[in-house]
Amino acid sequence: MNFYLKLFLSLAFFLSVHADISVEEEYGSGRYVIEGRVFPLSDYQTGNLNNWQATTRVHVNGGEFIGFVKKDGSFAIHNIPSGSYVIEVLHSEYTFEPVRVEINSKGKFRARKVNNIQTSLINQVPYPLKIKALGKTRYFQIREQWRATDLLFNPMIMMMLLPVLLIMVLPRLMNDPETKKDLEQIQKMTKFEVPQVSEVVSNFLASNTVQSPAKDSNKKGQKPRKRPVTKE
Amino acid sequence: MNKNLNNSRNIDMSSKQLNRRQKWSLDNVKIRTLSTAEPLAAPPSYSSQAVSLATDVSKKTDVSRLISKKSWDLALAPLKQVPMNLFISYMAGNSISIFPIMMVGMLLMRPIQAIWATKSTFKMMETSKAILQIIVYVFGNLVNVAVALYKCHSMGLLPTYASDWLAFVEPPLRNEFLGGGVLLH
Amino acid sequence: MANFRSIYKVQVFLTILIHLTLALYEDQVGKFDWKRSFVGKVKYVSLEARRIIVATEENVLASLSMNTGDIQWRQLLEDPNDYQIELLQVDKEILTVSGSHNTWLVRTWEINSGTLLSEWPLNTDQNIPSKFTVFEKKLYHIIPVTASHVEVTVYPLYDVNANQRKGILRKITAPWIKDSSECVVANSYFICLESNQLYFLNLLKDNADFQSRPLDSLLGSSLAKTVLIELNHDTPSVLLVQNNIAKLATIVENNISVKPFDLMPNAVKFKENEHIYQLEANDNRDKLIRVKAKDFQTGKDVFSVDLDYPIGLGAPIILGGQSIGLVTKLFLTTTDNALLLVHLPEGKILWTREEALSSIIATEFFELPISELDASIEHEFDGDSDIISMFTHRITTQINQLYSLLSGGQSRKNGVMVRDEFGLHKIIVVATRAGKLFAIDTLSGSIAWSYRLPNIQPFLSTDKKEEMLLLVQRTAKYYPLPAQCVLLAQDSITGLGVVFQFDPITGQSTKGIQRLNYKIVQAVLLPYPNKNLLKPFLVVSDTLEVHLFPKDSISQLKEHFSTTFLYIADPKRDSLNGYSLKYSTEDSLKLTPIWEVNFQPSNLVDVSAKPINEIVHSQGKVLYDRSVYYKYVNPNLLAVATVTPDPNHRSVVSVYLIDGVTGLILHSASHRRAKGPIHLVHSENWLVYTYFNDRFRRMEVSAVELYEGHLQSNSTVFSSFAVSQLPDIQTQSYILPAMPLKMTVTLTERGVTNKFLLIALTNGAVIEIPWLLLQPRFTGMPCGPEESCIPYMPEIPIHSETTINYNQTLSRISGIEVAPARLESTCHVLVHGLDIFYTRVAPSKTFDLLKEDFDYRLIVLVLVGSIVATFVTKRLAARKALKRAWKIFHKKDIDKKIEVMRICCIGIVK
Repeated sequence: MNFYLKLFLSLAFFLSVHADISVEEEYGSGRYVIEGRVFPLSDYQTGNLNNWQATTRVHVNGGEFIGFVKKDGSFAIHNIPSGSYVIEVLHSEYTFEPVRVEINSKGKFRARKVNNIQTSLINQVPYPLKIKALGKTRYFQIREQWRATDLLFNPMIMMMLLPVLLIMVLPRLMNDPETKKDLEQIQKMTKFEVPQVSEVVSNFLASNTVQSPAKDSNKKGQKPRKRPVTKE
Repeated sequence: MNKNLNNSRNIDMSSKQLNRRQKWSLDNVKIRTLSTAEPLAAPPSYSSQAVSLATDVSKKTDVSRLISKKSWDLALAPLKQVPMNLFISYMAGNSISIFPIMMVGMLLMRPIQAIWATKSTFKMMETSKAILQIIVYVFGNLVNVAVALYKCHSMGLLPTYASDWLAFVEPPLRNEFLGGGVLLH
Repeated sequence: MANFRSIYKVQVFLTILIHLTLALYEDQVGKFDWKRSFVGKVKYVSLEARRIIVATEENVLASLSMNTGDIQWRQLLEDPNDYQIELLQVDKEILTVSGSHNTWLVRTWEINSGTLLSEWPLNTDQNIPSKFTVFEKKLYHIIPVTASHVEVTVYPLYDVNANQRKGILRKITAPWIKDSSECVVANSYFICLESNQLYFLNLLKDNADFQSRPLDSLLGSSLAKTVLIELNHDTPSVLLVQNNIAKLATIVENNISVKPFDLMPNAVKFKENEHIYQLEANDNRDKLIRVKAKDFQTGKDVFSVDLDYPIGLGAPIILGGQSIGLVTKLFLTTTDNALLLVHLPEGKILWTREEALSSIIATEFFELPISELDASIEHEFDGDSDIISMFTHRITTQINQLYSLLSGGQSRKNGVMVRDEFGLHKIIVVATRAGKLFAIDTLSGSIAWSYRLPNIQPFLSTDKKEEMLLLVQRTAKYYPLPAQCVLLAQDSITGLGVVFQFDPITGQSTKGIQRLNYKIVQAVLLPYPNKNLLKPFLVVSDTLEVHLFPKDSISQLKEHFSTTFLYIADPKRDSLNGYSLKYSTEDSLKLTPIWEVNFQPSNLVDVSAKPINEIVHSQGKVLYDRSVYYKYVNPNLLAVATVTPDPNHRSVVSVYLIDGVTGLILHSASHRRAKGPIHLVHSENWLVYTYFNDRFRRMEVSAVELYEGHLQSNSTVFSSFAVSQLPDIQTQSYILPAMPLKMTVTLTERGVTNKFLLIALTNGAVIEIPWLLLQPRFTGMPCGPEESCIPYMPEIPIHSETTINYNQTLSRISGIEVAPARLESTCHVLVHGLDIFYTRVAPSKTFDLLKEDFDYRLIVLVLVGSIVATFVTKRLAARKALKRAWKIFHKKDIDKKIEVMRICCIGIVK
């Protein structure tokens, strides 16, 4: 089973490689013309770029062949042998999508979108080419503008303001006798009977070092006194 | 939470001051009556004078005991802060931004400052026999420093790795010189 | 799930990228960048009413303003190496014929805007240089077929459907003909000069044949070689030049006759009037050139005008002209490719264009010297002056310095070339193909000085690449010693070496042009300065002899004989050779071959060493676990690219990393079914190269990075001979969705700043790509923002924001040069080609400089506000404290007091 799978895969691979080669070898000699038309954005006409045709160029394979755009937006690139070409329309203000045009030895044209990652994926587009501007090219960053709200809603500022508020408002609350009482109540409630470590340690040490007879009475004398105070 | 701690410490301080005054202040009795008179009536067969007498007898030991208790309070305060600090450092997280950095800075600076100020802190105790307390106090602060350092370490603020010293590695000197290019014609 | 993860990855990546890419702000346009546009060496010209239409050797058609010489529009045709404009005809519209041997394109253009009106191809079977002419709205294509016949094809130009355009071919037997170089087209006649016979053919007549006249009968017998030059006139006429004296020959009704008067070979005539203009040298030193106008019929002098010819320009030639009434405009070009428009009869030069700058071969950035004021402090110890005068001298200079500081940089206002604080003001010295040196100011883009070296030409290196060598012997740092630079080129006639030593700041040369008696193969600047702080350089001759300049620095060199190595890559033999100076003595320098790598049958395409002045700041890479992976920074490492023709894979691109001292091959990689153009960028411990993947038909870029490992074998000294183990090599490849023309990497003063690759694309943009994006990712290690690592993406995104030249499209880029500024963050960039573009880039943003949009007002406001607030709150707090103090004594608060006391008591009891 595994063997067959492997065989099949290798066969498929071989075939694909072979197909690839054969496609390339189809190309022969002969000179063809790549034709198309550039469609500018609507603000071409309205803007100050009324002469966009003169500043637009068409590059084939990065300038191997060059086409110029006529008044009506059409272009024709001559003397192109069969093969695979990437057509780019270049203008300094507008972005155009590149197109791949393939011409086989019989002079058949096929145009598709350029896909650099999945090169075998064919996403055909009509030929003669119709190339539309994608939009204005953005060369610049937009400078950040200073706004008061930005500053206010900045988390850092918020974090700074909060303590300030606490400092300013809390004392006021404390001054109010009722809330004060409330607070005290809360404090009392949260106070637990925890034997103080320091006491234990000091007692322990004291018993070790001093060893006075008063120790016992101290202990006894303290406890009853402490209780009423804390329970109060 | 912190505030509470401070409060209690404030009370401690005030009581300490009063303690000191106790030795000679005549006001003492008055205050006591004021404070104790209010809540409860004396139980039957309880003589307040006797108690006061008893306290008078043990006055000396009581004061020293109080002092030692206070000093132990003081000495153990840093150790008591350790769980608190651990909690704070856990809450601060390991990301490096202004608040965690501030917290870590506080964690680190406070015990160090406390160690520096040990002498003045224990001067108030008016006993020269507080060596053990001082040791415990310093130890407690050192534990706090250790906690802070561990926090720094886990935040990656300590230059403990070779990568932290990478910027100071000088580029090696070149032993040979090579020049040349393409054959020109 | 996977999809989600990938989306997340993309998002992370994009956020990083936004931080990495540093686009310009729109208001920064032109603040520190400038662009100069050129057209190249002019071949054909036509002067129109308000404009000058030029066709150049750069295969460019352009319209220049008559008044200023500025470019109104410019159309770049195909690559000038393959195609050339062969005909320029301006009528109502512009007609050009451009192409090469058998493929031609006939185009018509609108005069005002340069828009294409029509285009049609003209293909022939003959692959022979040919001639074109336009006559009576017909295009004549004349192909001389050697020793056989001349083919004349006539094409109708207008009122024809483009698809049905057909030429009428006519063959005229001419068994004597050799090639078109000895033939000219004069008006409607095709005239050839062959073995002392002058043949001429009337193109208009359908059945005409060549007619001939022996040259002796026209000029008298002479052994001197005769050259034929066409002259533009209604009557078909040519100049017959013999011994630098021209005779005018005219054809009237199939009969050729020679006028009795002599002319200069540079004589020119325009259609509008009957004058022949020629240029003569003048004895007057201020006005070196004289224009003489002669009558066409009689040859008598009509007038002569002395020109205000600028000094420093080469010998002029009249390319075109225009006469309207008494006013004549002459369009001149010079041997150094400058263009001038001369206004006659005043003889005034209206404008000059330095078109030599369209072909820059070598560039070098120079720091400017310190100002005179700063320098005067150095004079303190000059002479034996007493302490008091020294003291007063110091005080006065420092007061002056303070004054100039307070008055706000006087030096810049005066336009004096003085060093600035951040090293942003520099001088760029460029050597051009025409043999002219220019110094360009980086701030303004203006030419500081220029110097023309007669009869020199660049060397050729790999693949027709032209090269001149500019070596910096001494920078301007060492006041009072001036900076010194050397240009190495070859004589355009003999090919022997030429050495020109000059001060790059002023352009002055003490020694002048030195012509050597041997050919230069390579030259190396040595890093051992002599007592004058001058770095010597070695020149290798074609017989592999070594010459040292200046000769007295042998004492510095002899200590380093055993550690100085040379490499020479021979693209003809496809080999790389290493040499040593080890066996040299003080009297004779000797190159000893020590290793050779032969790449045959591969073709050596490119060799790249690291930038000499590069400093590697960080010696390692910090991994995710905070350990260090040390870089393998070998300053002697060479990167070599080869292309091998292969029967199975068409062609294979291979890249080698070779230690240039020992010849050890550290790394090699091959890419099957790949082809050039290959661009290498070699820096620090990495190499980046691009190639075209023929299989998937896309550009790919690969990165190679070398590491020593977790331990550095020797952190103090690097020696190529101390090889303990081969470096760990990481590689990764990416798709580059663009066609690169040139590639380089930014360079900063201390190498702390991130590295950016600068890539010039065929679409005229120069983009920056952070090296982080290309750096090979370590397998099995986390990669994210924490590790300052961008997850791998197969296709490198190219955003328009990363274009450093924004909408200033640059044409035919031939090189990108970088130099560090004194600000660590900043790097100077000069892009040259048909346009020159200068800008500054800051790959990690200008972290060492306040942002230019820094709000000084806000910070002052905040500062003042907080000071005021402190004082106010202080007052308020004091008042409140006072109030509280009073309150305690207030009777109402007695309860409060009791409360306080109680609490105290409780404390005590406790």
